[in-house]
Amino acid sequence: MIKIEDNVSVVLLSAMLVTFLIFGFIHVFTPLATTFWIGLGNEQAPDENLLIMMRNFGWMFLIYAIGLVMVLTSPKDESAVFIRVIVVLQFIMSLRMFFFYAEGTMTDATPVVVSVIGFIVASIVMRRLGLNKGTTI
Amino acid sequence: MFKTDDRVIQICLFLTGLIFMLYAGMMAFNTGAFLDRYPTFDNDATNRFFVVWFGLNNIMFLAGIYYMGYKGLDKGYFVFLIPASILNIVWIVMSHQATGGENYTGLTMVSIGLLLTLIARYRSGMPFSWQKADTAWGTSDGLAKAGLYGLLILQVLVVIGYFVDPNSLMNNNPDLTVTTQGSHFALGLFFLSLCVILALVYQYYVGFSGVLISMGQVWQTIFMSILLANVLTAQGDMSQGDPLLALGITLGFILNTTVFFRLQKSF
Repeated sequence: MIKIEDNVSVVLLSAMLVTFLIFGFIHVFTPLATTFWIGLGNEQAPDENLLIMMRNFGWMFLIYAIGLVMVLTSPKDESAVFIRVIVVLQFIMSLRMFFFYAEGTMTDATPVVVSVIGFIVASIVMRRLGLNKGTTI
Repeated sequence: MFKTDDRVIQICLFLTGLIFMLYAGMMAFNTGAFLDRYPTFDNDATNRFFVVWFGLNNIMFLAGIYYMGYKGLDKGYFVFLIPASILNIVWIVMSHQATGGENYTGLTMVSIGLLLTLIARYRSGMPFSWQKADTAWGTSDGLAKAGLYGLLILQVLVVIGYFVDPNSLMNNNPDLTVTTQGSHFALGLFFLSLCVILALVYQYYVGFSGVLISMGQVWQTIFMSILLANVLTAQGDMSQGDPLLALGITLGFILNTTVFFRLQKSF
């Protein structure tokens, strides 16, 4: 069933999959999205327009989670571009979250910590599977 | 697809999957619109809780279709899905009797889904008898066996729990209230638990089934993620959830994940 042969990568990819699902559901389901939004340091609950945007964002997480299932069940060379995209995505996300936190517009440090851990995990998987750009697969 | 050249099977299972996708999308992610289609349904927290749950169950059914699309037909899927669809129809008819019949779309769609599944099962040519495996669960892996026994015990406890208190899901969750509609949803989940027990007994007798273990893994991963999402957004306030349900989901996830990773090389 699982085609990735490196056990450490399988564990890391599975953990990343669950994390993507968690953040996906947090953004997609209204009660969770509302609590999450207020927890980020906002005083007012999100209005319907913002909730729609959050749902769209949540679906991106869920779609990436489906992508990670595909990575786990495919030979590693078929997933090279996807893993590289995930590394870039996590890197840019980490920077954005860090700047928001540094500016003080976001008081909760959880998104910064999670996105930085996500970047490190994705990088480790990419290195362990030998998928970094320039490597002959 | 489905490792068969039979176009009828391919079309039947494709359409069944489409019905599951439709209901998963509507019930889990567009709950308000779904509830509005039923005049006597209140758009309250209890109904939303159960409708989302039922929608996520449809994702599990859909995962089975996808699995067989890549890996080939598996008798275990039909052993689980056909009784589940029949009980679903019984459950919908019971709700129609209670409300006087307000929306027949669901009944029609589930009936069509059952018919398509039966056609696919019949045309697959697989024997209807159960071939006994050499060992219980069809594996010599002790840890995987323990996990499968654990899952069976967990489901039996769920069924016993329903007889002790049919409304326990609502009584244990401070956000929910016991309503007639909520009780009927709890009955639907009880029906599903019976089908899961049947699927596990089938695996105990004929050996583990890749599609059933994978479907269980999809369900457990989704519910574990939602549980963790609730924990994350609760910010330390753990008084609002259902501890018994959280324990059941966590145990189920650990057991199913153990079984999945121990046996996944064989399917």
